[in-house]
Amino acid sequence: MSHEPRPTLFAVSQKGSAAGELNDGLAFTVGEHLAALYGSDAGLNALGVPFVLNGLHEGSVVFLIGPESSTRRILDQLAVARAGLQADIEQGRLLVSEHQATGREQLDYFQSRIGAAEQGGLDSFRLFAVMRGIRDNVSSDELGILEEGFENEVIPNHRMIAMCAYDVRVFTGTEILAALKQHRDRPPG
Amino acid sequence: MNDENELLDIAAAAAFLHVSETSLRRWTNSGRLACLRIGQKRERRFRRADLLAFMESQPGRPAAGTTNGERGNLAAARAYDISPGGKSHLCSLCSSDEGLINLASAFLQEGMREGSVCFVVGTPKVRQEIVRRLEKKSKSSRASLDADRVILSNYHATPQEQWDYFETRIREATRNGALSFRVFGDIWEIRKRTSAAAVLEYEEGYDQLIAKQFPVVTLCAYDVRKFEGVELLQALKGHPDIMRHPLDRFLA
Repeated sequence: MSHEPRPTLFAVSQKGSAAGELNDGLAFTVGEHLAALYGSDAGLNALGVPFVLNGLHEGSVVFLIGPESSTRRILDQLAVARAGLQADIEQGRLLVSEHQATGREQLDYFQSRIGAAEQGGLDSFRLFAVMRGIRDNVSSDELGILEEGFENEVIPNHRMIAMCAYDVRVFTGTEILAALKQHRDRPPG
Repeated sequence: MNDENELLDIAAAAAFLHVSETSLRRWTNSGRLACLRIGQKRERRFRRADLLAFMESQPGRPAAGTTNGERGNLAAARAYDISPGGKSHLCSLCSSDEGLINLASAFLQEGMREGSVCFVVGTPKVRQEIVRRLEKKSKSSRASLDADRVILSNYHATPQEQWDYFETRIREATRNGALSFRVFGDIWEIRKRTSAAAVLEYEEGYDQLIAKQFPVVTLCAYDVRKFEGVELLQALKGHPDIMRHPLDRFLA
């Protein structure tokens, strides 16, 4: 048993057959939609920074979405690790925003940015979403629309790897279980 | 309870299939899963028979001849394919009483089939429900219950007493020929009278003194309605054995 304040936490994916603790070396597959759990600000950075950084290194367009306080912390650490971060943002390779007000607006945001990137010859994408922003600002109905739309419209039609990060200090046990199920229960076929 | 025409609301149907409500909405919207609509809000209702049929239509469906009751618990029943005599310390998350009983009975039934001595630790109500479910499931479960191969108890007052209890009973059963063991525990029974730290202490000691020392497969159930998110993350991290299995096998 281990309960040291280790920042890298727990993730499940739809395509992977097993759950595992995240680390820098964990490989992701296009089409994966992962849920990750963290319990500290350092934990969020440990999840988000390598995920975004690896996406930029591989040439993907990366969406970083969440409350400004959370994305700012991740950006601060990214800036240390990547000299050209500001250029990534200015050239639209790293898209930073808060969550949109409705599920449909969020989907439209993804589709318009993805469409623009694909027209520019970029066809690989990553999304890192700090889900406490959604919890604070989006109703459960809107969240349902977003989740369905993301799985039905975005994931199948684009080369996307997505990680949704849940703060266990904020989300209830019931919400965490729902999130884990949501990211694991796509029916076979 | 097992009437196939009984209508379940979306929460109960999701618990039955071990999936999220969002998935049910998606599958009904796409026509893959049948549902009825009632009332002005056109809320979804699901027949057990439709849920069973949907489950059967998926790859990995049960063999012909499986009873409806067994099919109903299939998602959990095929979950614990751990060889007898192996050591494993697992945890599960559940969001309903039904989910907890499903997980427990599937886990224990598998243990009974392999001839393991099974411990069920929890409140009298939980134990009673589990036994009732096991009795319904099969004659072999009934035989195991009759032969005292299923041992029921409350959690003891202190972690040390609980560890001692397991060690004593396991050694005793081993002397009497038992080769393998299963332990199912409803962890809320500890948590409700202690603290998150005490649960952690109990789990750590159990892992070292029991789970790693004896041929025991253990399933610790955490009811997500009762535990904080931080505690659930600790539980997941504290049971790394589950990472060898698809996680959805442990969600109910």
